[in-house]
Amino acid sequence: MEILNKILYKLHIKKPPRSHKGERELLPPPVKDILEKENLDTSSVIFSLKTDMCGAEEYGDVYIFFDEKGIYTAEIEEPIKPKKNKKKLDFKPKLLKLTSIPIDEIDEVFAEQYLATGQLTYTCKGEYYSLGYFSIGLLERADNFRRIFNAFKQNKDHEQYLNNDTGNACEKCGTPIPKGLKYCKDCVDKKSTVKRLFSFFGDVKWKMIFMICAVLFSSAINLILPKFSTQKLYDEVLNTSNTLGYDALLKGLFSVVLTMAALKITHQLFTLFYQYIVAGILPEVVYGIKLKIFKAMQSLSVGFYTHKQTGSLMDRVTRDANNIYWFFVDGFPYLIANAVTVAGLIVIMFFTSAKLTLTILSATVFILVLYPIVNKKFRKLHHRVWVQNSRLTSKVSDNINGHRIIKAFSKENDELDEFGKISSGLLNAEIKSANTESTVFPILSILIYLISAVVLGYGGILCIVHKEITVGELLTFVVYLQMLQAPIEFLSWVTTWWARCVDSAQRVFEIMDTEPDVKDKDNPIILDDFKGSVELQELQFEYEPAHPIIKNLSLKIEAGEMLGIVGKTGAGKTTISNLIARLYDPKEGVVKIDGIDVKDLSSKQLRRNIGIVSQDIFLFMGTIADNIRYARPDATNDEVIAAAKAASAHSFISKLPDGYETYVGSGGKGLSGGERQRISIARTIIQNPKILILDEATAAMDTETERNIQNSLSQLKSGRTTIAIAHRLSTLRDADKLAVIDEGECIEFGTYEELMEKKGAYYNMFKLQEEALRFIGIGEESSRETDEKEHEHNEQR
Amino acid sequence: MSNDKLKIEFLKPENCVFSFNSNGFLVMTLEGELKGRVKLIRTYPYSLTDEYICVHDLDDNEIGIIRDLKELDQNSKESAEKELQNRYYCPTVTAVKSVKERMGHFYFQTVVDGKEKNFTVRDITRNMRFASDDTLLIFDMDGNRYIIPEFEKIESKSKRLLEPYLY
Repeated sequence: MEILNKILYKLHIKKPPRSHKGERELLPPPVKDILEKENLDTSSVIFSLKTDMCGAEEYGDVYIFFDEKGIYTAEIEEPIKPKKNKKKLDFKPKLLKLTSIPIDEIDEVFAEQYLATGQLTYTCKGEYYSLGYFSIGLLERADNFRRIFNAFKQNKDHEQYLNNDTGNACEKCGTPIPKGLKYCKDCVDKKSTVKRLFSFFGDVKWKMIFMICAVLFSSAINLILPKFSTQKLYDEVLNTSNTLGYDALLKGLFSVVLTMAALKITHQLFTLFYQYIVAGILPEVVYGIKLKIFKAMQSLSVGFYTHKQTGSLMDRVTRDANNIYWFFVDGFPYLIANAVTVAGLIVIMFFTSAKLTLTILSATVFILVLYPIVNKKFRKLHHRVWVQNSRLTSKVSDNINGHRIIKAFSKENDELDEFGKISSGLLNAEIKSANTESTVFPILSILIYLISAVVLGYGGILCIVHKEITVGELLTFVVYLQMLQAPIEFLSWVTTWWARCVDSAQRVFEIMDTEPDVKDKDNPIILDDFKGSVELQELQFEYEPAHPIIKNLSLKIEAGEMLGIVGKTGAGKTTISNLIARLYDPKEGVVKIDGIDVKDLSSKQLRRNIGIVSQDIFLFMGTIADNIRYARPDATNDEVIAAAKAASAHSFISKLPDGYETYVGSGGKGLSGGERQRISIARTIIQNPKILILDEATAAMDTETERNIQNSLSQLKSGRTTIAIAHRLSTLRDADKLAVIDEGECIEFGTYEELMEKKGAYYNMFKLQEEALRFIGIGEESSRETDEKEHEHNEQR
Repeated sequence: MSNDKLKIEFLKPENCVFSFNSNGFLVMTLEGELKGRVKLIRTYPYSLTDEYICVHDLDDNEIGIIRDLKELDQNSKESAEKELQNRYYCPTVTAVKSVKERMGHFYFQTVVDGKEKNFTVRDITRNMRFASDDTLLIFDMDGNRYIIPEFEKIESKSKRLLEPYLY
């Protein structure tokens, strides 16, 4: 059996899939069998988790699963034969330990995160108990176990989370596929990547066929050139045993020269033709690839961008697309030309002299073995130089961005020393690389020269002693030998280049294949009349597994009302606005707009009707007018100025030398934080949204500007739902309702009067800020207003 | 600002007692008052593993900082060390047998804590980096973390295999 498995493995015949669509496998059949031998009914298991640790510091396979009666942990010994890529064909588990905890003794399950591991724990009457450990890579699945069990225990709908399980298995090999990916890393083969890579050239396939034909003709002419030039010249013209007359020799010479010129010109014409086609096709194809990556990136959710570093994404649009480009510009045509040349040369040489050809081929094998070894060495050396160069670039970039801090702390000399250290690292890497290159290449050249000399010597013997070949044929052989050197050298390292191109293609396809976390339903609801009432029902959300940011949050505001959200930094205020705009989907609970779940609404209509003025201000490259018009490019100049006036931005814009045509964004005019924020407010004003979210919109401004913008925003608020998030409570004076958020929970909700009367968290925050402002002398006016408001409120009562 | 103003109030070691409860969880008694289950956090997890240890309750509120575990009584010190060892356990790569690259993924064959372990690293220059001068961290594509505590002391073959990818 073992031998059969080995054969199947070698033949790449994979074991049957562990799971099928629509049927989730909770426990593998062999594990089920041994558990059933222990009189455990595995048919009623609701959910199971396979962990990889049997102790805090020990690896081992443990299944944690539960049914209506309780939670069970089964430590299993799975004999796995160590194989290169973890594939196991034989699976005979042994039960080491089985424990069960009755469901009545479990109040709640928790997933705790440590540095590289995590622990599932549960509580019983306030006491904590351990369920088992797992590697940190399983945290998301462990957290899902916690969520499903707790929902089941609390008689909530636990089935909605069963499909959240990240255990989507590859249909071919059964390996779990990371969330967001469509393919399995082991089963995606180079063939399919290459097929997809060539599919980019589908639109230009006729041009490609013409190009390949031109390359073939060009190579073929190049091959026959020595036969019709060198050989003919030596054998028919310069041969001393020729008895032909002077005129006939001259005619022969003339014919050889003409043939040479004609062949060379035709060769060059075909070369020009294919290079012309390549130059036409490739920019078009690379433009297409970049456009496809960019389009895929636009459709991805915000979560994807927060998990990927910007640099890595930039690389994919630029470096990876260029890697593909350069291979096809510089590599692909020459790959065909060189492959045809090598094959053609060998055939022609073989027919000329089989003995000499075999000698050359044995020498070629030696070169083919030698070159990859040398290339591997150089690749490592070049990578080291690249790494050192990257360090140096990062240091320079750090210095340029932090120049003010460096000067303020008088750290120029320290920075210089550090730069010197990194620079000397690069110097050493470059010296080592250059030294190796200058030693290895001459040695290689000498070796190749020696091989040529041996071939020439042996050919001379065949020509002079054995009379097997003519002088012309021998000299043609020498020319062919020289012609063989460059293609062989090329073919020996083009594989590395090709691998790099396929890697880049793979990374590009990864983006194209990533499914957005937030996507519209097939037939989303489009509201005829978008009013703007917002309701959050038992909302729960986390950016990272087991780190809840929003915990069971519920609140409601009617269309046209203003809600003020207050709370400490990191309380989850901004997350609420992200969830309302559906930049993320909640883990649990529902966000409703006009009584409909946002997941059912068209996200295009939703976002067109939600305007966010965020604390992270971003201006795109372009003029100030372009930036204000961003949400509505058809806005007139009048509307742009009116929006800027409403956002108190007009006064500073009109003072700029280039006015509304001032270039901003990366490389543009430097504006202050307040100025940039005012432009972003104008951008939202022109959007005219039904729901306006102001996330610390005026935090970066002085009191006077803040007051001006507040007045502008007050006008803007009329007729639309406004959600204002603020630290400074004075900015929420006009709010109809206030919500105090603490650690992801709404701890107080009501009108200003209700909360002040309650004398709870809001009241304490208000008094604290009032005292602070009074202390620094700028809050007198605001406190007077508050006193007036309180007085007015008391009178009303 | 004078340095006097930068002084931290540390927990008094004589007032802190750490022990494991019957369920195997670390509990703390501070000035005779039982604080229940607590978390210990290393503020300098690579360079000062037993110093500047933060004590948090289960809601992540800081109870205080211990200057050095050595200052605690022997039982408390041992309990705290054991807890930190569990919480900061990181699989240690003792040897690297091969690193093969395929389709932009790097397949590692290693020995982790005495057992053979294979894992895959993507975007290697970002996912294999030094945490301090000599401590190398490796993150695989599932999010697991591995450590080589003294890179200079690892056997030469492993070093040779990893060096080309080190930033």
